[in-house]
Amino acid sequence: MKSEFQIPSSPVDLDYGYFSFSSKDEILEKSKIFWNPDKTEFWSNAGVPLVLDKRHEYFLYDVSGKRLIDVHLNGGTYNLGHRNAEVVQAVKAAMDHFDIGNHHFPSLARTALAEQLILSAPTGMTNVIYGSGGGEAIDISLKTARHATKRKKIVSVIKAYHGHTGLALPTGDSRYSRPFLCDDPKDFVQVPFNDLEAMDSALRNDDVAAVIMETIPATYGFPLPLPNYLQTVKQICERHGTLYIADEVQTGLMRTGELWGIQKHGFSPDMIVTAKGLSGGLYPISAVIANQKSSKWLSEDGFGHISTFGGSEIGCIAALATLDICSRSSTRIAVHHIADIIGTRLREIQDNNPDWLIGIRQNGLVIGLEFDHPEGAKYVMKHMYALGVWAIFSSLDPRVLQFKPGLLMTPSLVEELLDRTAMAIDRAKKEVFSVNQVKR
Amino acid sequence: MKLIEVKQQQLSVAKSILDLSKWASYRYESYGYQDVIAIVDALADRAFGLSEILATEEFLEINRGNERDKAARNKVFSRALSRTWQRLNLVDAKIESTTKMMVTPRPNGVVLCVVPENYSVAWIFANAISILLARCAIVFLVSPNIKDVATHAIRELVASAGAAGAPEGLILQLDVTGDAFEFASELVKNDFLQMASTAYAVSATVPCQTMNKQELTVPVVVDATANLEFAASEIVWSKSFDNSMMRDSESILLVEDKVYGDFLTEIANAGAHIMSDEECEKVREAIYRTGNLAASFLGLDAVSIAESIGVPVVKGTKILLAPLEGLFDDDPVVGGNDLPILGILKVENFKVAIRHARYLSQKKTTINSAVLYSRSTDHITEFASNVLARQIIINAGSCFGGINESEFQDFLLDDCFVQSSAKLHMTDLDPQQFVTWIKVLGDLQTFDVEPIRNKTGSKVGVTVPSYPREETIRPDSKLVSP
Ligand SMILES: Cc1ncc(COP(=O)(O)O)c(C=O)c1O
Repeated sequence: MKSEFQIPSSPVDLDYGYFSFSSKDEILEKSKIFWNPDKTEFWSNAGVPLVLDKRHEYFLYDVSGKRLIDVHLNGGTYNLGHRNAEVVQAVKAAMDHFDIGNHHFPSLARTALAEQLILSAPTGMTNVIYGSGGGEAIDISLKTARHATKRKKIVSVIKAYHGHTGLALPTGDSRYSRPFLCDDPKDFVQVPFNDLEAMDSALRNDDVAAVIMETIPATYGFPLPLPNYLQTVKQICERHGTLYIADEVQTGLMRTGELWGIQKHGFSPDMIVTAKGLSGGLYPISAVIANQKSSKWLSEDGFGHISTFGGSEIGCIAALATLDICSRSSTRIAVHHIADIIGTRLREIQDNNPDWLIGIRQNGLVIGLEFDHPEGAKYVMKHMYALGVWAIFSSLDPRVLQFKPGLLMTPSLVEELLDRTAMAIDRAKKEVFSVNQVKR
Repeated sequence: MKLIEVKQQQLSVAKSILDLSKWASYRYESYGYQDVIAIVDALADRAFGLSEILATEEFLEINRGNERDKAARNKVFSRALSRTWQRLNLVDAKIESTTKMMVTPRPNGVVLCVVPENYSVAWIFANAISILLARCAIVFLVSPNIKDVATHAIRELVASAGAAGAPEGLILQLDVTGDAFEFASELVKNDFLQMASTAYAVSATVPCQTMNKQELTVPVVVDATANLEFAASEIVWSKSFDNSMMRDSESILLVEDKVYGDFLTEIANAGAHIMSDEECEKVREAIYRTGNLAASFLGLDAVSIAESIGVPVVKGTKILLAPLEGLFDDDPVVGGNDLPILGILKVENFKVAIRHARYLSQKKTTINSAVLYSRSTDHITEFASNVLARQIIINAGSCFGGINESEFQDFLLDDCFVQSSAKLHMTDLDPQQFVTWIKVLGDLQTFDVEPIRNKTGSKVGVTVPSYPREETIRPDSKLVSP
């Protein structure tokens, strides 16, 4: 076992030229005042008083100097590590020649990326529409579906998460939509995950524009689709003239051991939404990859969707570099090794804690760890943080910890990660079982 | 306006490949001795079976050397090597017999192999066997001139090792567009790897702080006690093997005065053409005009070389012998070993011969082998302790690291080799250099030896669920590199 102790860092230097702070406390204080008081406080209370400073490969450093192995990776934004050297190099070079570009005109980088995305995707995809964030791309896909079908209703999964923008928000949990008066059960119908009957009856009236599905619902804690579930949903969609939108914001870009998670299910959706990781963690970009049937508006009225930052050229170059790395067969095989070793070790940890770590949900490097306590993952998160690992609980099912190791992790880092994880799981169990005597 | 240089792009791809190789080596480390042997056996058998086809392909691609010799070499470098080496257990802990100390082998990790252009297939075979026996992973660096045959050979090895349970990525290929050696040096500079195996360097395997491309010199001493007829035929065989495309072939003969005349007669009988001063000049003029060897002569046989530079020789001539007056540093015929051309120098006595060999071994930092033909035990020990070569070869041609011609023929007869294979050292490729023996200290009486043995029987590679493999990548996807 590795030691949990960190060598104390030299006195923190919080002078960054453009801004400076005298202490971490000052940052937290001002963060509460000027930024987001509740969120700032939440993390302090949760035992994760993190303010990111340096970041490098799969390491994050708090301003205090504390080092963390990142297995949150912002949902795959940092699939290739923080400031991946190849992507940094590409973006720096791009900045010597390009800028965001002009979103109205044909563009070098947008065209090049679109071609690569189409080549990378399952068969049948024909066009790419760009956004700058995941939510925006989701909105684009939903309004594209409405245009194509001339229907308004959208069906999503209960506890789905597709972002917080206009159309994305009502597809998700009411915890986020209702406070902003954005829940809309009439046009945004929700059905339970893995429930084919519910899906069938939601589409029965032939009035649904699209079903939108995360290939593995992330914020819900990565419950895995039952065998044939997604394929059957697609078939139901086809029967009712409804489009199938695959939200691959978290599952895409080789995280499952296949470039797009949906490719493991043997069918082509009507649209694929990608964001987060596509940016290489360096320059925002998102995209909708669509087939002919769903993207008719592109030939009828190309100005149908306008976004100044959508498909910014520097973002496109970050994405090209990212896509290149993700698509290498060496990356694919490495992911397969990492997934296999982590899976094996996690099952060993589970064997030692069968009453605590009650479920391991895994598809490649998409991993959810299920604990036997309504907020189990919050405890584990806290102990992980203390032991130098950053992993986040699933907001919509806090029993489950999201555990998302990077695609390019090395054997020694994976070993260290697993050692620390095992210890944190053990400590969290002791804490929960001692305060929750009732459970025993 | 290029956003990224080709070289940079190649380095990035190389890093991905080396990173994958680290995973394969990590998994392979947990394999037991039987698993390792099964993989190496399967691979060596496949290599052996393909020896002739690949020799033909190699000959067609580089159009140099001798196809039959290449096939023979491929056979020796596949099954014969694996049979010889696999008696080395580089997996389990053991008690060293002399010190009674317990040692356990730790694989050195990923080894980058720069595939040479002069004997690519055999080198690929030998490296694969040696490195896999040591439970390391391999990345072959392949240059364009030999790409087709090397790719074929490597693909076959990957398939056979994979079928025998090797973890995916254990044997990888990295293509370079320019000079492979330079690219390897670049990787070292960038700190991408720890071990490289190359046909150029002194020690074939170098821990990578630096890599230098160096020439090789193989001095050969024939003393007055030697069996001259045998020495002459052995030298001619070894020197002309595959038209001298082996890196360790003889470079210069140092022959004792007393037997010089007789030796010349013997070597002429064995197929050497002894050149006149004038003919030697022609060699220097035509082949080494620029100071370096003219590449167009590489891999040609002695007769073709002689004809093309206007030296009349009889049919069947196997090597050209250049009598020298001294070891002059600026004489290109001193020390070169890439062509079936050999310098020969008469030396007063054995002492002087040693001095000369020693001089060569100090001057050129790259003496890998030094050869002595002698029947005197005193001479042999004196030679071995004074000539600073990595391997000293006694009474045998150097090109195969000391197997002589008759044994070499035995090796080709499928199963005759084992009894004599102790001779097959091949220091360069010795699998032992790919492991580090870790000393286990403490009182052996106080614990059971068993638990610290390496894990055996855990074939991690074959139990992996069927993740999508390369075949399932859409063939039209341009992004699928490498
Ligand atoms: C599956 C999924 N879709 C969409 C989004 C929205 O992306 P963004 O936060 O970039 O708007 C997220 C973000 O977490 C997500 O996880």
